[in-house]
Amino acid sequence: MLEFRNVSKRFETPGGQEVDVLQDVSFTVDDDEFCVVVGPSGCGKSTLLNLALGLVPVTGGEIVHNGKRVESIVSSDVGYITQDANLLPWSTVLENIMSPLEIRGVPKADRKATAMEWAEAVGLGKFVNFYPGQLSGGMQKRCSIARTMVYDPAMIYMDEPFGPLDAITRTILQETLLKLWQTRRKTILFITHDLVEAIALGDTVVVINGQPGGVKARIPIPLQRPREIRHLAASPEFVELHTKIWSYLEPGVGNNLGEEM
Amino acid sequence: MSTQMQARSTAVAVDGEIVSPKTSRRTSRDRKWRIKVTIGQVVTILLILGIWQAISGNVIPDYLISSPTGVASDTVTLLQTKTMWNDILTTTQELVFGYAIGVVFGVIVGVLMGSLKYVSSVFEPIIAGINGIPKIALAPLFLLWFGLGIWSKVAQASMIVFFVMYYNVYMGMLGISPMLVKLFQVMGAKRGYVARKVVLPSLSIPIFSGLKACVPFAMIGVIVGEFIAADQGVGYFVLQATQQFDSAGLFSGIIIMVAMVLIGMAIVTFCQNRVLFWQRTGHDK
Repeated sequence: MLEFRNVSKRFETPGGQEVDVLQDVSFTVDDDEFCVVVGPSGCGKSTLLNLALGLVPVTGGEIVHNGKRVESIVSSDVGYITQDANLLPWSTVLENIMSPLEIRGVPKADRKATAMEWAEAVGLGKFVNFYPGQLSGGMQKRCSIARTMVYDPAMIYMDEPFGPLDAITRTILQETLLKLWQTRRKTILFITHDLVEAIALGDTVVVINGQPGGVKARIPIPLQRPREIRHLAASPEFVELHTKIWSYLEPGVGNNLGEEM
Repeated sequence: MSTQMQARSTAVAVDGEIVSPKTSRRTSRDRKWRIKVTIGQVVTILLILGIWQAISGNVIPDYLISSPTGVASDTVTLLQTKTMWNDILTTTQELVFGYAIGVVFGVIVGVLMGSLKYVSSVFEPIIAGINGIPKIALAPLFLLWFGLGIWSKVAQASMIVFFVMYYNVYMGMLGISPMLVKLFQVMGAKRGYVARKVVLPSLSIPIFSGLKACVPFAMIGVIVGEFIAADQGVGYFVLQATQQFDSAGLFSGIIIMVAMVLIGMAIVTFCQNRVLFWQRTGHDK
């Protein structure tokens, strides 16, 4: 379980000014829940993830992960999938997928077998000896998903992982992710600015908006699983949820545009 | 090892070496282009040599510029003498030691500066200040400290090499993706693992660009040292030839130096191709 308790974050700009990015954020992610945080760019949602992982310290409130206060980099039993695939360009697909097992001291033969399994599971079975530079963006992303799933962390943090991909690849990868999650339940905290993606994937959608960002709503998504993402947008329940979540985004979006211009 | 070899062969396949009609047409166009380029280069060189030969002795006296045929025959004769090979051996020793010492210290200091903020804050301006010294001006000092033999030349070369290497590695350290490092920390990697698997490979590109740039720089250091005071070496030979108005010998010496630098560059390139194989295989980005 992951709890955000009145979390605030204030950054100091190089010019010495102080900027509040997040203010008084409270919500809980239950075990095995797929929680999606959605919000416009600049609302501090990626910061939220960095705080939860202990990559940057909070300036107010606290974050509690499995009963322990987050104070330094969280590295026990968690996975992190970033916007860029962040693979090692000098290692092959298989070596990349094996690296977390190597860190954990898994014997070499087991490492290879497990990594092969996951390469197959994400559809990279034929590409295990390729280098990341030889793969498309979507395949690199598949590799980074396999690299995280391979060590079976109980919780996975995902920061707009499908953001840079084209619409078709994105939908296919979302379906792959859901399929993997269906067979191996995990707690997922997923950050996105894409409303459709949020509804399609999540058990719960947490809407963050404003500057500084705060939680505007926590909306359960009662859509049945397994979900067929490509057909989802046509269903009436989806449209209803979409409209509802939009209503929480509207005022803040106006503000953001005002500030950006 | 075997997986690596396998990977390299697939890489070739992906890079378009599979013969399909489309790629073979492209290859033949590439070949024609390369032949055209080579012809252009050969013609240019022949033209220069031709003009040199034509004006030598007619427009400009022979003792000032010699002539291509004179230099060629002189080089061949020189390479059959034992003293020339002694000179080459001496210069090679100075080059190798100077290069190696400069590279090792450059890498060590670059890594330290890149990883310890306090160290870099203290030493960065100091190193920049020392780098401001025209290194050649130190040659008399090195002579005083290390004597007439090879070590004053080694010091001169390593001094120049050090700074080039240091800046390359330091900038390389600053260029390492902090996100990649954080990701591996979240994955549970300890410092040693990050250093071996993330930092060191990230530095391979700046290290090799430094290694390449440093070969001719090392030669400059060595030759300057030999010009100041020496009793053997290719630089010493060139100086002697100049004093005797032997312009053919002078040019021969320079040609031998160029050959030595090119051999050094070829060795570095050979190593680079073995280490950076993953970089050549990219076609996507």
